[in-house]
Amino acid sequence: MNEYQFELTFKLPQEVDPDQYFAALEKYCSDAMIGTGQTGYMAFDFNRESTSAYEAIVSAVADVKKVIPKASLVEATPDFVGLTDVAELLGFTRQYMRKLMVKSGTAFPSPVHEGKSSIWHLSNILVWLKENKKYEVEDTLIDVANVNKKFNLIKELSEVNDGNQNNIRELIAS
Amino acid sequence: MPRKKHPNKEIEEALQYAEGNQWRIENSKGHPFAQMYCPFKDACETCESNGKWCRVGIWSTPRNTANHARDIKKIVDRCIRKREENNNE
Repeated sequence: MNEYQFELTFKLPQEVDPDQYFAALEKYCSDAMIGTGQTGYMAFDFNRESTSAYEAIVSAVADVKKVIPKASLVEATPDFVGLTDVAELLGFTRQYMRKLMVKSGTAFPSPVHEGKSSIWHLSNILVWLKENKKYEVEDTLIDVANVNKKFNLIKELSEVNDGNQNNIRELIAS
Repeated sequence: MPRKKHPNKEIEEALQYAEGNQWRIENSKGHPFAQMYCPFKDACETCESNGKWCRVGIWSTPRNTANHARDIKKIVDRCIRKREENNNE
C-alpha cells in the first residue's frame, strides 16, 4: 500500500450549502482536507492509502459522488502546471527549471499551451526528467500526475461530441 | 463562546498553531468538528487557491490523525507564505 496525495475540485449543484454534506463525508472522505472558501465549489486534498494511484483517485471521486451525486469534477491536481509549479514540486529554483528547458530545445516536452505563462502536463515533464536526465522523481508522484492527466483530458473530451472527432484525430496524429 | 478542545492532542496542537497565526476556529453542530477560517478573507483575489482554502473543515475522527494535523499546518503555512510574497511585491 502507498499513500497518494492529490487534490480534486468539484463544482456543486446550484445554491447548495456544502455544510450539509460534511456528516456523510466524514464517513468516506476523512482522509481529505475539505476547502469550502469558494462559493459553489468544494476542494478535496486527499492523502489516500491504496494499491495504486488509479485506485486511489477513482475511489476518491466515487466517494465524493456517493455523497454529492450532482457534483461535477472541475480539475484533478497536480496535472496542469507552469515551470514554477514544477520547480516547487521538485525543490528546484524556477531559473534552474527554465535553464533545463531552454538547453534541451525540442527534446523538452511540448506545452499544452504556450504563451505568457506556458502550461504543461506535469507527468510529461516528470517522466522526461526521470528518463532523460536521470533525476530521482518519486514514483507515486508520477503515477498521480499520470492518472490526473487522464481524468482532466477525458473530462475535456466529453465536451467534444460531434462527428468531426475522428477526422481531427487522424489529421493531428504524428 | 470558547471553542471545544479537539480530543486528539496532535490535532489540537495544529489548531492552536492556526490560531496563533490569526485563523479563527468555530465549532459546528455535529460533524465535522469545526471549520477553520483564514484571517485574510479580503486577500482572496490574490490567493493562490482563489479562496478555496479560506474555509477548511476539521474532522473529529479523521482516518489518519497525524496527516490531518500536518495538513492543517500545511494550509496555514501556504497561506502565510502567499501573503508575504504579495506584500513583498
